[in-house]
Amino acid sequence: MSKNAKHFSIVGVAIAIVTYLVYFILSTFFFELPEAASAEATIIDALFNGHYILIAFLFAIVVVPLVYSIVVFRQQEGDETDAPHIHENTVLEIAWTVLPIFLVIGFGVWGVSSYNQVIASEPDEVTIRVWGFKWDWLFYYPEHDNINDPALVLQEGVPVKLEMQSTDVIHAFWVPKFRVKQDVFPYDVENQDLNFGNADYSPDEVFYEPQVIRFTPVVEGVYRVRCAEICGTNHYAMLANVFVLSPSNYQKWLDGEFLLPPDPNQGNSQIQDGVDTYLLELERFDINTGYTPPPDPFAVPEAEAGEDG
Amino acid sequence: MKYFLTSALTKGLVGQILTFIVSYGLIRNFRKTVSGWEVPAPELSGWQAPYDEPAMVLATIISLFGFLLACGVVSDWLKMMAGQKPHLKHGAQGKPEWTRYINIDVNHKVIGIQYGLNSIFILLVGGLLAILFRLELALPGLQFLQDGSQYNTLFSAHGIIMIAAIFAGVGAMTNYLGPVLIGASDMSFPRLNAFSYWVGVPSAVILLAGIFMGGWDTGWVGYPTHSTTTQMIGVQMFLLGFYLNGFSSIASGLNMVVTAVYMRAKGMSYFRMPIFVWAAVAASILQATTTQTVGVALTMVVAQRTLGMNFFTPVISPELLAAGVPAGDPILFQHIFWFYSHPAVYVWILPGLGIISELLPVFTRKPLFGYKWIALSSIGIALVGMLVWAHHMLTSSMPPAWKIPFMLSTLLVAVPTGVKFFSWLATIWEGKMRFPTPMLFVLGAISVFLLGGLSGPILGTIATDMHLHDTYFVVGHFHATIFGGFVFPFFAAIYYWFPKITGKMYDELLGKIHFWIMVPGFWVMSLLQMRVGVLGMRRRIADYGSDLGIQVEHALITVATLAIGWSILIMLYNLITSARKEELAPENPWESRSPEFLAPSPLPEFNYLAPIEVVGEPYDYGLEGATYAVVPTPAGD
Repeated sequence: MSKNAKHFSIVGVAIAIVTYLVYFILSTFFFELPEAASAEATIIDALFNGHYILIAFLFAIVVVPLVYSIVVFRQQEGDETDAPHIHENTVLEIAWTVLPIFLVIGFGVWGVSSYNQVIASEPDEVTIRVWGFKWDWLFYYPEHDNINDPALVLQEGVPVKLEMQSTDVIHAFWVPKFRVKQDVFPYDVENQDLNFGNADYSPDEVFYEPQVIRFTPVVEGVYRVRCAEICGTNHYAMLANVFVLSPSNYQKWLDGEFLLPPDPNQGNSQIQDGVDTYLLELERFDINTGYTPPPDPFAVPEAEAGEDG
Repeated sequence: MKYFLTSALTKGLVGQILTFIVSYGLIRNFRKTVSGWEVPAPELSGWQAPYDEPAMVLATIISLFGFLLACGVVSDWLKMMAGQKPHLKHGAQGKPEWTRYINIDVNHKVIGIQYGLNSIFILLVGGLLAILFRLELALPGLQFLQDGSQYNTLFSAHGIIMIAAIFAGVGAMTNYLGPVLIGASDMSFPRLNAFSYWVGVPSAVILLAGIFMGGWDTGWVGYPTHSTTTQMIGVQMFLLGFYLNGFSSIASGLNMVVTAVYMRAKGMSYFRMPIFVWAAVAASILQATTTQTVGVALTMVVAQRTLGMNFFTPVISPELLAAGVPAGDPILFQHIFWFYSHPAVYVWILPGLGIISELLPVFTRKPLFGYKWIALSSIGIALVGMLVWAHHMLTSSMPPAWKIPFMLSTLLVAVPTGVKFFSWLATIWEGKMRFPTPMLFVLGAISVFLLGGLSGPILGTIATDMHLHDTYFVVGHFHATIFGGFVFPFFAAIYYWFPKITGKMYDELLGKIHFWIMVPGFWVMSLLQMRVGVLGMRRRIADYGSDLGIQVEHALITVATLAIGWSILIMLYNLITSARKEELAPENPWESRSPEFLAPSPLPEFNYLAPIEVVGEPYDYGLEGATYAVVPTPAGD
């Protein structure tokens, strides 16, 4: 028995060390999440962190005894005998069936509460209507005279509710730095025609909000919407820029004084060179001052014009 | 060559191609001349070609019958319908022994090998497709593919072809090992068994042909409304090929369950069956009971595309509504599709996990710890697996309140899976481990399946899945579960039973090289896939932006993929050269207690020279004087 106690204490210490090491590697480097640019990202990242701890611990309790057995108990040279005849231990079996159930319940409760926080609505949220189609996005701003734009423009710190709709196939709205993703089905959301002939259906049933996603952008900057559901030939290039602007710049943008770069996806003509086309347009953009259009190559310079005159 | 040209395989393939061409031509001509209908020119993209889609569908269905009639797998049944009583034909019928593998044969071992060869062939094709698009993804931007459609066809075909290969591999293991391990002489329904294999061949042909007949860009899931509207009409071949593969699954699942119930050796109670049989039965129950639903889903898509029935399009024109066409719902497909396709994953991994449990006691020289718990955990995984399907739809337009039960049931899968892991660890603990190639692959399988298992719960909780859904994290996760749960155990089984199948020993050094390239290669590939997924790499995209900062990872994933490809070629070289050498393998090279090592290698036509009798527990290693099974000496010997 004392021999076993020695084995178990070595393994126990090693499990603690490996758990910490794996958690450190996962959370600081290997599975480090992109910048958290929305309020929801903070909630989701906390759950990610919990999962990383769980992964590290479960990895350690499997790998440490496995490697220890391989190193210590392996067949010694010339030993052709069988190993000890240990074939069951009911207490152990019940323990490792029941204990994981508590972990499952714990993560289940955490999972439900974090999901409820992520989808919760805010009283002062701004509604934006989103259209996804092969292979681009279009954003309508009903609270601003229904102006529309191929880019999603948001105000820093103001919660938004996106009401989304597809015109053809299923797409999915995803901004990695906001963490949130929602499939966009070709339902007719605008006409609330979701009843499929069922007269009893009430569109007021709030729990059935299939095409809605909510978040609060909290960091100024440029982000990218990436379609995450296979939708055909140019699925990979179904992108849109997201601009999170400071309140003053947002007002300037509404007044037409703050320029945004043109959408590189227009007409799907330029994406043949790959999605990096999106980066080229951003070189002339600054989050504080806006977009500077390139000089018109066909414009006659003023000095020359003067000479000619 | 003469034998090859007159084999059932050749006859079937020729029959399939001829019936396809003839019926396509007739239908096409009929539509043109009689109804005056002209094919509208589709928008050309990628490998798109102007085929007549309805004619193609009908001709494909007819070509299946062309294959089955020409190869002769149904001829016994036709004779029975005509009132004759055909006998089961055993042996090579006066031809060389190898011709049995390309002809109709009812012996379960021949069918098992046929499945295995088929599986490896399709695996190579699917792997080649993967290497093609991995090369494309090694750098940002489009390199050698013309557009997204070609990429989409490649990854879609990779997915479904690999699935066909895995089903064939599962068929290989259950067919070859099932009857042998329970001490039976064959499966319960030998003709049905042959049919299950042979219906898989035309289905593989149809899937492969889909790449060249238009291609398709829906992925292996084929969600409407994309699959119902895409211009890439190879999608029909994908749907039909997938559907036919289901036939094979249902029939072989039924066969295995009946065999395990009725054909066990004397004295072999359920809790004395080798543990692999439990896993195979659990997988077979799933195969036989859930495959039908995906058949429904695929049929509905084919019907909507070909016949204009509206199942899935929610918004239709007022004229159609007035004409009585109801609106459809695309999410309906996802429900019925995943109701099968999630359990399908367990069909692939349960037999593999059974192989792990089967081989661990042999190489640790210890009894399998908690035999009954492992056996019942297979059934538990199968049952819980039928309740989790909508976790593939956690970001879909399903109401939030419906997502929560599926999150909880998904997390619950961890419990029976945990039982397996902990029981394996307890088996290994204090075991006097030996490390020949099969054991290395078992340990590799445990380590890789652990990667897959640990990356599961984070996808199960909805909030984290909102970030990870449809990213490369998922790609890494399921490649790890399937490599750990199927590919590595399959290779372990091939190495382990190679001396039983061929009577020769494989080359140990080459086996170890295969292992030491493939397992680290897989770890690199899978972990980096998960990493780029966390950083924002979506699934199923032909190109990614350099703004994500994942170029190095992608280059490394491609290198790892190539390494895996090479290592599999090493295995094939090893197996082929070893099977041809003269030297015979020892009778029981692993000192296993399993009953198949009581019979000569390679196994005779009816497995055991006389019916075996089970007199003890299967895994009593280390117990003095314990015996599992005995073979009564044949009379007059």
